[in-house]
Amino acid sequence: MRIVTLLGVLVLCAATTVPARAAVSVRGTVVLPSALRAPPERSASFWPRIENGILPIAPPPVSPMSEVVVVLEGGPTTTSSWAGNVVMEIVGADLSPRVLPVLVGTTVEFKNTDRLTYTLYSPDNASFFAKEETPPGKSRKIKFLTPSVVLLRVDEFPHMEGAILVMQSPLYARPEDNGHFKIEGVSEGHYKLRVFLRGNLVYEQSVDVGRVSLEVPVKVPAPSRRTE
Amino acid sequence: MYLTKVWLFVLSFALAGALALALLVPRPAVRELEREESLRLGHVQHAAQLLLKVDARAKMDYASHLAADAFLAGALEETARGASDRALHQTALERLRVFNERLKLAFLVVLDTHGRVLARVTESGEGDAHAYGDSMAGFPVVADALRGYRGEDAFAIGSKLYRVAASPVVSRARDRYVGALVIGMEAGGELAKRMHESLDADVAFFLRGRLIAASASPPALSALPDLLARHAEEAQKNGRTGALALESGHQRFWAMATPIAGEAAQQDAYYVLLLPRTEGTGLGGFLSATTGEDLKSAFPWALVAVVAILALVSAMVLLWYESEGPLGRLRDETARLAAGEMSRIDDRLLRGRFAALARSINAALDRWGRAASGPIAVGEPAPTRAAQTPARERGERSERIERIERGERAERGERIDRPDREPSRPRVQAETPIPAGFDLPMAAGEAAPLAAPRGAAASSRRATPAGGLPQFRLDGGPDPDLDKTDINPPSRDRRPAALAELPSTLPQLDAIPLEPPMALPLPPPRRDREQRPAVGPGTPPLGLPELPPVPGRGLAPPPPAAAGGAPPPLPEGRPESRSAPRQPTALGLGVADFLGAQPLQPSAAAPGSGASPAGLGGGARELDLAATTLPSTTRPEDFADKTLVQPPSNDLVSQTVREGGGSARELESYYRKIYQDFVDLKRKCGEPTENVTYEKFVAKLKDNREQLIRKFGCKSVRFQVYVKDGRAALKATPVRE
Repeated sequence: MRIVTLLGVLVLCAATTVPARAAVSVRGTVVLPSALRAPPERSASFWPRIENGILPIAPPPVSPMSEVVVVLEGGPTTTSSWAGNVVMEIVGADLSPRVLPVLVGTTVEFKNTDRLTYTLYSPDNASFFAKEETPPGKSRKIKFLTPSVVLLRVDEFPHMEGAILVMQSPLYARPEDNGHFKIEGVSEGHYKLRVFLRGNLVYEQSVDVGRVSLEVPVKVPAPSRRTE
Repeated sequence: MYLTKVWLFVLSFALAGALALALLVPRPAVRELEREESLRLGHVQHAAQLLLKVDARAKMDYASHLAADAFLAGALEETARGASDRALHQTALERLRVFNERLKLAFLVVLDTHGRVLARVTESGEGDAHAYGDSMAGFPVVADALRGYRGEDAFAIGSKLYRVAASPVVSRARDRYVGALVIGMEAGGELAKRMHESLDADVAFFLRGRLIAASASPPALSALPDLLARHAEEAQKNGRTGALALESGHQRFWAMATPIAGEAAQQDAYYVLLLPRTEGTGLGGFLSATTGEDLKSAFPWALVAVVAILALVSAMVLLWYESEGPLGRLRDETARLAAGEMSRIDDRLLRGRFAALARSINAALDRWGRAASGPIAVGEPAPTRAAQTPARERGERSERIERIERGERAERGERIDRPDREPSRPRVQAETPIPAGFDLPMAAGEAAPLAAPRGAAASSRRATPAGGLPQFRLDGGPDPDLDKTDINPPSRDRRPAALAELPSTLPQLDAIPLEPPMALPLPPPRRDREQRPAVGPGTPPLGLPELPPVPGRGLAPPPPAAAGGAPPPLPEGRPESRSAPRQPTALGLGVADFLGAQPLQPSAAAPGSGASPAGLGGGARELDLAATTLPSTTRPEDFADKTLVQPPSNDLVSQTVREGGGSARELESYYRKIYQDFVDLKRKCGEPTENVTYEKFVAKLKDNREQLIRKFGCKSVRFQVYVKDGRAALKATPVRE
């Protein structure tokens, strides 16, 4: 009896002492082509913008990398959800942040902190995200239950564009201004690394994650046409 | 009337063509006008674009100029350092007010480096304290200005459309950007008026399908939103729409919508140019638009008048040529026919239907004459003369002819005195017996009893060209038709002068039932008619005394007045009066016309010769035809007077001899001429001529000529071609001399 008990304990110990799959990080640098680094081209007016002739042009206040999301999909355990709230602010005729990655089940609060009324809607899914005015100081909350990319538009100002990336995988990251990104806790396995810019998939790569961290260079090709 | 009809047809077509042209010509003109107006509208739109572009550049320059203001730059520098924003706000606000007092802009905004509002003034000069701290960084033009770009844009805020220009504000040290300055002008009524003044076209601004401002407010603008919605894609694709027809009530415009450059283009912001459409579409529009000056200045009235006159003259000429002229000739001919100057209408002078009408009249005359009996009408066909007596059947006529033949010898030379009448032409009506074997298709219609031996050839002023010859008809083909012999109605111009031979036939003819073709108005009866003796051989039924024989070719001196107190006969010789008055009939023809239309009434006078009817014998005779030529509807006493028979004229005699009795060569030539005339006439009448050969024709002529000569003892026979019932026929007239 003791022997049996001892064997059982040994087996249990052996089972519990089997090392779990290693959780490594996937790092990389996103390199955007120059065409995508610049802010979206605004509507054509009578005159193109003209440099002032005194000082060189400063970089845009909003880095294009803030609109990039790197996602690892696939692998053994990439399905996840979260029931929390995320805020997207509407201010200054702009969305902040313009791109928001969330997990399935996340509720996004669109908060109008400006003095204008904005009508936010999704042109791709008008039934789900219909046009609805959001007066100043008010919010509009929407819970996203399906993995998808929801583009956002504002009826009053066509230049206001945003995107909600609803994902099942928690393995995503937003690159820094220099393009560096790091995704922690990636288990060993085969993944697909996808890069979204302003809600549009601009890059996709297969990644085999092992026991060690992985450095993935991401060079987004230049688009053949203007990226939405 | 063919040419007239053609001309009317042409005129109708010309009129229809002119009307079609009048209706059609404006259409290309309207189309061209619309195209021109569209082009003009396009040019106006181009000018409007240039105007707005220049204005936008001017605003950019304004913004750049204002952004260089040191007070604003200083305030922004301080703001960038984190100084008291409220104090800087007031500084910037005051400065902006100074600017806007002169510029009258919709707004002037100074932004810090984050795009937040430091100060803002509106067109009224009031500061917008609530705007302090608001962010405008989201506007692309602002974001660009914060980076150092100068730009302009147009966007809508609320229900207002703004054209904005932004410029970076550089620090006074010119080492960094400290903010941006934005100026905005409302695209509203003021801009529309200015554009209207510059472009001479109405301008309207539309935002999201709603009219926000316009230089005018025509009702037609209410229809523009739908029009814009329908042409939005075209406008976005091409930068503008085409010229759109816009109508509202009596207002008609051309409209051209252009998206406003900038972000406003995505906000369905348009400016629409309106040009009134020119009136005058269609014929009515052109006519209503026509003024007196159009008709005065260089209008080709002369050309219009010439064309109208030419058309009128052409119509008149054609009418005269085809209608008035032939009608006048037909009228003259019928008048002459009515006046007794001619026996038949010369259809060769006429054309078309008038010729057909003349032929029909001739045919009617012929038919009446043929239908009449064959009384011997002697003397002038005056109104008081006996009417013709129609024969209903050919057998009757033949019977009478036989009686004439039997009695001609006995009665030849008798003289019938008609003391109550002036000497007139001798008229003899008889029928030429159809000899056996007379197979030539000739009708002895007007064959005279041939008084030539005694010089009593018929004569008439109204003789046909070959008068005095028996008439035959050649009825077409040689085979059945050629064998037919028909009795043609005699031409009254072919009145034989052999009156001396004819009186003996009168009693016989009297016994023939006569039927006039129609009731003729006859003069009132004379008192002496009942006392007038009848003329006839032996014991004439009418009790006419037997006429003495006529010696020689001349007629015997007129015997004493016949019983009944008839006036004494005229002396032998030509009558004193050649033209006795005629009594017109209901058809406008004299009684003599009908008498002259009797069959076998030869006449030898050449047409137009004016020869008085007289016998060749030269002796005038009287023949009482009261009982012989009266139609059933007339009374014998109407014709109790006597007819003087006169010898034919010399020219008639000479012509007859010349034409009828030539040498063999002349005879051959004469036959050929007759043949040619006959063939020509058959062709003219549309009859076949293939079977009419010259040899056979001449053989028939010769055969009949010999028969007539043998029968009548005449010297020659004269043939004449004429039209009978629309067919070619031939007459044969024995010639004594």
